[in-house]
Amino acid sequence: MENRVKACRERMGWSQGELARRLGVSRQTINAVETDKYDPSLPLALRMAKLFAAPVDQLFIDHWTGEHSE
Amino acid sequence: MNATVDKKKIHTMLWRMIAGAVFGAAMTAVFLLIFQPRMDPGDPSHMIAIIAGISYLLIGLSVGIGLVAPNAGSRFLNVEDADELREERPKLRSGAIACALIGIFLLVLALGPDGGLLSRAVTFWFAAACLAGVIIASFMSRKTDELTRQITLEASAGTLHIALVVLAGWAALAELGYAPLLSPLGLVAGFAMLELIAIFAVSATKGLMTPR
Repeated sequence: MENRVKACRERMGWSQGELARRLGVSRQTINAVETDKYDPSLPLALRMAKLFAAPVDQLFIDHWTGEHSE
Repeated sequence: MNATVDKKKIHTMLWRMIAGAVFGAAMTAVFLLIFQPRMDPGDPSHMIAIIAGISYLLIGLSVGIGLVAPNAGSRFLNVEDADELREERPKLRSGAIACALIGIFLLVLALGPDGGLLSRAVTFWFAAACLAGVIIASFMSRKTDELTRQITLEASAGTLHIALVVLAGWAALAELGYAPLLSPLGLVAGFAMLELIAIFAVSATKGLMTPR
């Protein structure tokens, strides 16, 4: 899943370590999310959205259109 | 990220893997040279326990050394810089202790009485202390990061599935007399080894083995 975590973090002027500290996760987790290696849990995604004051669907972009969508 | 950086990262990853494999193989060879003459050649359990024990001990020691000397540790552990090791010290410390104790537990049981290293009673107390230490260290690190928790969950599920297949095959062969019987120590060491392989496999499939 594509995400804009890195762009949001850089806009806030935070390092990966700073964002990790604010979210209570490891720097490795932030790195893995930013490089699309790991999709965060829903609670972590919601916390990120809250921290960046951005809607979750703008922070995490799912290109799925739906099999039966019209 | 450009191609030169990618190539450099792949080289770093390969060198780390080769160095770890060579060091682990050398240590295993030394142990086997010393203790193999005293082991039962028909029982592969001790061999499995030695290989698993050395693997766990080396991982625990390398993380431990990295935590004691973060500047040096950042060169051989897959972290961004020495500060990351300092930040993660509480979590990594208990993990490193647990890993080293699992290794010592397996090595002590494999080499204790049969290897002529320790008496049966001393081996028992040594193994019990290691096991207690593993439980305490695991309890200390229960507040793990969600990525670590996810990797552990996936690796444990994978281990169970692979173990069931491997054990089913081995049970069939042993029942028919085509394979040697495995002692409880061999079973535990086998599970520990599979868990380790599964953790590396899950980490690799998530791209977490690539140097950062």
